[in-house]
Amino acid sequence: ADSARARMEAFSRGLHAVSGRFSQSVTDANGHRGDASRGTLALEAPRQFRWETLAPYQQTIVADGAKVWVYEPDLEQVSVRNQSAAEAHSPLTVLTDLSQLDSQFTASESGEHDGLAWLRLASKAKEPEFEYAELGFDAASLQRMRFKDQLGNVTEIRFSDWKRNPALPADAFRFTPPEGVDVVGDVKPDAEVMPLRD
Amino acid sequence: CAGPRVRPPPADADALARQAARETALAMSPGWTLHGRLGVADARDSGSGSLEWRQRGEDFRFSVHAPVTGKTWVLSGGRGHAVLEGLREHAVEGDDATALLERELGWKVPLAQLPYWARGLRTPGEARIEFRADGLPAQIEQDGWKVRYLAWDTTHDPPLPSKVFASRGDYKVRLAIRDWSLP
Repeated sequence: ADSARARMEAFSRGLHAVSGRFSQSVTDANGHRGDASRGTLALEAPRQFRWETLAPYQQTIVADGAKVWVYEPDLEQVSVRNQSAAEAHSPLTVLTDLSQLDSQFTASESGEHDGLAWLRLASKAKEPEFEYAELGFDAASLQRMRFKDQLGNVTEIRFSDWKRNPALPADAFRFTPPEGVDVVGDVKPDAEVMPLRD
Repeated sequence: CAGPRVRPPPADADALARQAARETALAMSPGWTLHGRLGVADARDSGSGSLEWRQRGEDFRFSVHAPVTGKTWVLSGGRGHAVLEGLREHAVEGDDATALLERELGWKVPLAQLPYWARGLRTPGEARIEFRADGLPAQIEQDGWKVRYLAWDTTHDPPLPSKVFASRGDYKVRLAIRDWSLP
């Protein structure tokens, strides 16, 4: 079977944007499965993504290239942060532009299990957000992502219904806070915003 | 303002009596766990995450899983001792959970009072309380915090809050509670 790297390159070749569904679960160091959630995601290189959690709670995360918005309807709260380089090492941004993988991570083959070929990513960041991240590919696409944090919690995300280069609505990666919710954080435009179109 | 307690109008007297009964009943089960969403904010910054909070008497375990970074931090401890793990390479300790969280994360979360307020109870001492038509608390004011109860889970007996918004000046702590379990 070809390597995870080969499958990753096949999946990301010509891939400018992608949308799909996810289901996510977190297992802590002593195997206690907690926080399961599911929803939809849309990604567009180089830095835009929308991550909508639909159940068991609602949450919308939008990275518009300049800012990352986290909207929590139950809390009537929007947190907004400049999409600085620090965000670049979070697992979500790995997916957004797989072609940038090697600039941020050292990738190595970590074998086959669960019927997938796995690529392990070690962050090149000084203080990496997570101990490691792994991407699991089948012949056609990225099926799973796992990452382990310093506490030994393993988050596993399963993907489905990938649509390659879908026609996304114009405001797919824009976020406008609804009326009446608190918007707190880096609300002002970021001075040194990295240009989207290099 | 420690002025004389204005005698509450009769309707309130009934609600106050039921509140006292609720407080006594809930004091009998000092062990509980909740799952939900936690939001914190001050004037400049805000954050949120999914929360698992286990309380056993004075011992607590407060675990927050952050959305974007996927990181989890856990604050645990009991009377006079708190440990915060997951933020740095190694665990950080202190003798007061509220002070430790504020020092490490910058969030002002009233962890001494929150076990009471999260269940719609007053902490011992001075408190102003307003009630909804059904006699459940609509708002409790204590220690400079205003705690608003926007939704209740009446499948529990006595009922428990499912949406609690606390604020003190620019500081906000919000809980959207999905489930309660009392062993």
